[in-house]
Amino acid sequence: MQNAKDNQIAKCHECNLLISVKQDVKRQRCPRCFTRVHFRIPRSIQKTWAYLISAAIMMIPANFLPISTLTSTGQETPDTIMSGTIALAQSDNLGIAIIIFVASILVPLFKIIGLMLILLSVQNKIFISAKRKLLLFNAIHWIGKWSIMDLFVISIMVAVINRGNLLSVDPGYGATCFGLVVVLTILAAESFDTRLIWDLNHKNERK
Amino acid sequence: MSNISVCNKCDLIVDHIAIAKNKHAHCPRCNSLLYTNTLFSISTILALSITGLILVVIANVFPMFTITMLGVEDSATLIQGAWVLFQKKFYFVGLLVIFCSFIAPFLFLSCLAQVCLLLLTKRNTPQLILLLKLVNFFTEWSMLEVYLVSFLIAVFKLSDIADIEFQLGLLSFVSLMFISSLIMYGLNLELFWQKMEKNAKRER
Repeated sequence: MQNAKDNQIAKCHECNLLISVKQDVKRQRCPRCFTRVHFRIPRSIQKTWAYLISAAIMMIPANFLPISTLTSTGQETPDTIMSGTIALAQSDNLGIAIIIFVASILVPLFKIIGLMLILLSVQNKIFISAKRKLLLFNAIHWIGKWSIMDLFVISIMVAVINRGNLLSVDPGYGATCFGLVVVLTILAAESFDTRLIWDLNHKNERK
Repeated sequence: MSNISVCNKCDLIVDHIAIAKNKHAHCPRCNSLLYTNTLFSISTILALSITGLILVVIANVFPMFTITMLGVEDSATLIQGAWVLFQKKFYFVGLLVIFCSFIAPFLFLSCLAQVCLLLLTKRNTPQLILLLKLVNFFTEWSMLEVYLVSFLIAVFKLSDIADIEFQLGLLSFVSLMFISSLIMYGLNLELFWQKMEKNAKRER
């Protein structure tokens, strides 16, 4: 089993061209698409941690500030993500309540905790097998975009329910925080380089 | 270096073996996809992306559904949802929604159509590289299928308090989602990069 990096071969991050890199040449560019060539995403672990910690902090206002406000005959009822889900479950929409709960509470939590576990494991703090790490990462990557669902639902509701004081839905600041959580977790997954998982295995085998 | 390939996920060097049509090559170490032989030709992709672009226009000109509530009839298009967020001064959320549900899929299709046209007419302009990189970027951020599920959830929520009638916009939105999934499935950008290189060599 041979790693490309050990054989001085880099794969272009944009166009997947294989490039043989001489050690002394710094800041080499891909001959096909002129992107900077790297063996690994530069400072991948730092970047991923930074995005993850910001996402974890934003989770707090995202869950406690109201995400939308329903005005019905002059009466305003602000809803957080959780209270909205409970309200849905109580009004016989259990299926939808479960979908919203999974997409906007479980998925972001799963993404943040999962990526943190992978990072800790790559930094040799805890042990998870390489195959499991990649499986977990693939799941996080695939599920990433689905957590934005609640924002799309709000945008549709806000657009169509608009009857002034009689009946209307307004967005709340929780929605902005939640949007930030979604973007930050997607960026975190993007900036993590899965090849680091196998570099670690390589190092451990040699010991 | 055409006799080897390298795994994207774990950096393993693997001998590049020719595979039969409709087969996939997987990495022996981490089981990720290495390369496939199920690719659409450039002209197929061009046809699909132009179809997609026409559907984008229809999906945004015609309303997705009309809603009758408190005796008033109202209709909504795709962009309207994000636009109202802008009016209520939720710029970030509005931008995010409009980017993921409209701008990214639209630019994905239009960049792809331009790339196909440039490659097929053998015109090697410097923008070609930028366009190919943009195609790569927009695939990550186009979330049509998520929007469709959200739409269905919103309709379910609304059906308690209002009468809803589906319109032409929805039909073309669903078709657009299928077209874009089909493109994502059959798109092999490696083919595009190789074609670009070949055209560039011919010019010299």
